Amino acid sequence: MKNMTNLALGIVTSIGGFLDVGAIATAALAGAAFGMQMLWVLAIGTLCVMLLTEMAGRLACVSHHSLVDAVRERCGFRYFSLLLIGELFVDLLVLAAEIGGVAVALHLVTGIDYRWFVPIVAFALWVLIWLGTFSIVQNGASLLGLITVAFVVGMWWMGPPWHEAIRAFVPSAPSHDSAKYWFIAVGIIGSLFEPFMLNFYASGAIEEKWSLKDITMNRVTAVLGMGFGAIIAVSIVILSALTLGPHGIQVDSYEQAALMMVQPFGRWGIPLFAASLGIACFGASLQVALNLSYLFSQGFGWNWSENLKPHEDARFALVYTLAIPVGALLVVVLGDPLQITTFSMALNALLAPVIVFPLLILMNDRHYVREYRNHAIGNVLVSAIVVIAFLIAMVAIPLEVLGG
Amino acid sequence: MRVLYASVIVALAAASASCSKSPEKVTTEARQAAASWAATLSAGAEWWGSGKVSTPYFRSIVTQARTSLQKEEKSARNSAGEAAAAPIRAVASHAETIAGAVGRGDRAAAIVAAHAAASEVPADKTPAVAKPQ
Repeated sequence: MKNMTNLALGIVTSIGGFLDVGAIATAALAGAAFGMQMLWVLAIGTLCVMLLTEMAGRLACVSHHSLVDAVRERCGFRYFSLLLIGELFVDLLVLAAEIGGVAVALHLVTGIDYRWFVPIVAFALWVLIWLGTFSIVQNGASLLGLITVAFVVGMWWMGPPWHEAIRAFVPSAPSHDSAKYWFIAVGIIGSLFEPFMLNFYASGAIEEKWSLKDITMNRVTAVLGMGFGAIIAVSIVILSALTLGPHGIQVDSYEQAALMMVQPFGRWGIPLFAASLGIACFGASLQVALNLSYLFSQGFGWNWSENLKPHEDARFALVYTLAIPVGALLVVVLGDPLQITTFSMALNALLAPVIVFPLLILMNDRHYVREYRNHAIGNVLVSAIVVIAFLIAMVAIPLEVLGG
Repeated sequence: MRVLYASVIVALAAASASCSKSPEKVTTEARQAAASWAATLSAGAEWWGSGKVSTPYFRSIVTQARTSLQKEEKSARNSAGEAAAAPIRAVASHAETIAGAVGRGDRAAAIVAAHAAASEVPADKTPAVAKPQ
């Protein structure tokens, strides 16, 4: 019974924790600009993230190593330094995007400039991590994140053309604006397998003392949790395609994205969008800030656990204490949270190979995972998707930035 | 090593040059952005008029629209001259009218001005089922 409860909690928190600012923004952009045409990108990205999440969890269950810890040990300090620099840069941008998302959500319901909320959000984030334990941080925020199911209800309410939606899962090229199409595609993939998620998931498994007996639970959580979570992202694409695109509204700001909820929910639409965005982003910003602490602490061999008191792992606490104000500062300095989001999601796709390929090496190394090694199909699928996303990002990011 | 650095710099310069936007492209993009904002104002005003969105929210949409329209007008003017910027300026002017109406709480005037804005630069409507290539 206890196992079933844990499993249910794992799935529910995965659903609630699936969405963040990147998934909401890129899905809304895709639906408004290209209708339902990009659903296939979501499907491929979700398949990849299911496989990767399962692998990260299996590594923790069998070897009791987190991902960063194992990469540092298997690939050496030089490689770890590359990973550290890349992830530090991208995670700080993602943290800025998430803090910006919470601030924008508060702006949507109050009308007050989002920048006023940035320090308040940052402080609340820091207090919760400082005082909370891992289960409070992870399960609390993710359970609240179930409010994002409102997107599914909204989509259902709008009565989408199911036949056309299913056909959109077949890959297709755009009929116009190719650079934008591929940039959004890279953003969607980047928002699904954010590198921070993999190490956070593996670190969480160690925090919660997973072992060999949890391998099945890990598999079910990864597949069902991510699968149901992806349904919410699919709903946002469809909702945006049904409500924004036909009016000629493109998503250049969160204010425009929020309008997707007005048709199905009337006066509750904007508050529901704001609550979904705010809670999803707050939960994700907790994870990103904690992941930065995990990254440094595991890489340098410091004491680490969100379940310890801050004075017991002072350097772990110091990292998030520094990272949160830097993230908050970036929101204010860089401005436009939506642009920070789309750009940081595309950078995620660029960074993905740096963390995914060492993970694949580890998952085929008997020393770490014994007889629980990867099947060839998993290796090939994940490698192919990550390489293709990387190559598209290499082309699409300069094209979008320089305006081709 | 110097040859490598020089090659990288030349390649980056060539990529930047090949990616720089033509005036027509800049004008088209500015017009599309203006059309999107006009459509947003139109839908937003209708929903504000019927009480589906709150006044602070609609005010923030209008503020965003005014800022973006000013930027788009400037970029169209700089790349293709006054004639290209004129329709965007017309939308911006309607956005000012809407801002005044929001200040007075005059929902009917906001709806009229928003529809006028949408008719200045009709938006490219994306069907939910976009045709792939």
